[in-house]
Amino acid sequence: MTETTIDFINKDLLGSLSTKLAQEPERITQAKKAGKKVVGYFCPHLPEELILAADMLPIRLTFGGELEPVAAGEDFLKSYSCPFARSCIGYRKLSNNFYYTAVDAICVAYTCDSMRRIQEYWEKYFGIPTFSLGVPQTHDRFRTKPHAIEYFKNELKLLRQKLADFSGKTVTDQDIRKSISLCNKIREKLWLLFEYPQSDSTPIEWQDVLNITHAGFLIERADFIVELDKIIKELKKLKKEDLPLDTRPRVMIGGSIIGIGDQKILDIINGAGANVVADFTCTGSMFSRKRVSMPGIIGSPMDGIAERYLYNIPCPFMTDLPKRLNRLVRIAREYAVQGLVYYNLKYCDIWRSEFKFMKEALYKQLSVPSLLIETDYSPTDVGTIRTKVEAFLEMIGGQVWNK
Amino acid sequence: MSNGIVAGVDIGSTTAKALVMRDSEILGGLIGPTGTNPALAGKQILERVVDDSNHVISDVKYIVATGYGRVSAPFADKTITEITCHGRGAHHISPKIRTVIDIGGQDAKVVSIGEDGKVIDFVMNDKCASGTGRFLESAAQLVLHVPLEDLGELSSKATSICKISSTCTVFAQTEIVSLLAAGESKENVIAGLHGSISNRVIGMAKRVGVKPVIMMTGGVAKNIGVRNALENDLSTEVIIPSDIDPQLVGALGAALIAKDLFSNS
Repeated sequence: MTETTIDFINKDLLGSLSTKLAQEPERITQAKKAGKKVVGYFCPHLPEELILAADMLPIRLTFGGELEPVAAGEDFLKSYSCPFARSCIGYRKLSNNFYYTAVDAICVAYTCDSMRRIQEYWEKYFGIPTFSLGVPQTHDRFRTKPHAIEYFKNELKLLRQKLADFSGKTVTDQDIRKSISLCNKIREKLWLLFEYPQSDSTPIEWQDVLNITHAGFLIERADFIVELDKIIKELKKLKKEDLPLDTRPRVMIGGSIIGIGDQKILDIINGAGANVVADFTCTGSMFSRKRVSMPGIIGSPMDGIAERYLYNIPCPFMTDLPKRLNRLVRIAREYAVQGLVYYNLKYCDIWRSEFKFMKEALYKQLSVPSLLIETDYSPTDVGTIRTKVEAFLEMIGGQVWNK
Repeated sequence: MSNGIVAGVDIGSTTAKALVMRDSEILGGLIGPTGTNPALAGKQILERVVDDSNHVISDVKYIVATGYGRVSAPFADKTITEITCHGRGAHHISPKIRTVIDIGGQDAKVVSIGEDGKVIDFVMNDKCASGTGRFLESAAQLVLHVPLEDLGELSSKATSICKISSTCTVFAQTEIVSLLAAGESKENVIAGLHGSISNRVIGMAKRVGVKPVIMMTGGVAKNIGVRNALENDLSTEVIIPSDIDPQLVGALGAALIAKDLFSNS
């Protein structure tokens, strides 16, 4: 079993979180012995509120960047499925990652075709109960398609029931409200952290906020809030004036998933002297974007969940491209981004097909250029990617040679 | 007198190139094989070209290294990517150039440059070396059994152009073998190979937009057949540098950047 480590940059600030993370496997093992069930999921369209409300431990299984699980996943998925999707099943097949073996059940949101198959394979080959969630692809920002949200609400209702049955607990609306409140707190705090890198003198880099987000996929949620509070308290002690100015070129990263431990592209960008300050990925800031609105006493909390999880996750598998483009441009503006590195995992059609739109939108509205990097987890193309990234940074830097 | 001497060293996958300049005058440029030690190849070719121009290495005030081997060039003052260098070099040769197509030993790039020679956008192939010099080299050596340098000349004798759909080095060889077995002439097959490179490069070029004037650089620019195929497929003129070896354009750009850096330091 490989050790789960996330390499934090600011080791002083994040030491406590790091320790917590290291203890998590043991803690989960104990909790399981005491009868607690662990439920894994992959996609951010899946509300972990429903798992929490049924008194189970949610774990978002998004490890990536390793070759072995990709190869193991090929037993099931085609070799031209994205390496992340192949890893989602490969880790379980290899049984070398604690979290993938710890789960008692998994929930799969029906987004891309690979993810859908993963559900069936987990069930058939590993004997793991799986619960699906149908997500309608069609909706728009004007919410002119009530049938889409109605469908999603029904799917959520069904999932809630299945999770309750699996856990052996009756899930009340009050339970749901409690878990919404917990998850909202996490989102709020993470979002606060993600705002720090908007400034060019920040006490915490985007990379570490991503790392914190990833740790939060694994750590027990109430404990995670305690850790987040500690971090925020420390950060608030620092005055902006005392912080050094970061003059590195400001880059935003977009595209498909950055899995836990998938450092390839980030290391190349860092090594080339740039600073990633923002992201447009579902394992990054998009995970914590927008809270679930709590309806009044009469309204059902499930409606709030349905709205948040249908309308606010910018997955390109969904319709409503204009909304995603506006969001992309807004982030680029707010973070004073000088370039977008579009990290597309090979064979991820849904993200890849949107690149041209994104490139054009950013260039037209903000004169911000984009670089497409299509790659997988293998190290063979690191040299080529380095050249592309360096050339891109030279381009952003204005190619003025006076140093 | 030797105060303003600068050099550009372009260490590619197949060849290492070096070019020395004094002010805006090119003192010399040389091309040699990269071999198995890119750092040494770069250093040796630089020493030779400096020596040829009757100077010693200590006369060289600023060195910019480029090419894939730039990372292993400890003698360089700065490294700049070949994308930026080819843009700069092409602009120096002709300020009218807006698109540079550089096909080297293992990669192909299309660089879009502005009026000032600065890179506006670019595309470069991924890890696969299809449609590059290596693709031609292996086809020439392994299945066609003709010297690489003769490909351009032979393709001009083609009576028709074979369709080679694969740009994969390995698959294309299989395709060539089948074509030859079916009685196609070498010349027609070679013309087909050039067409296949052209197709692939144009596919890349469309991602940045092909703006004339177009210049071709890199080793494959010496193959007139590929140039002709590109001109045909793009219906536009494709310029090959005439006063300087097209393989030296990257080193020229590096030397020009070295000049800027030196004069501003």
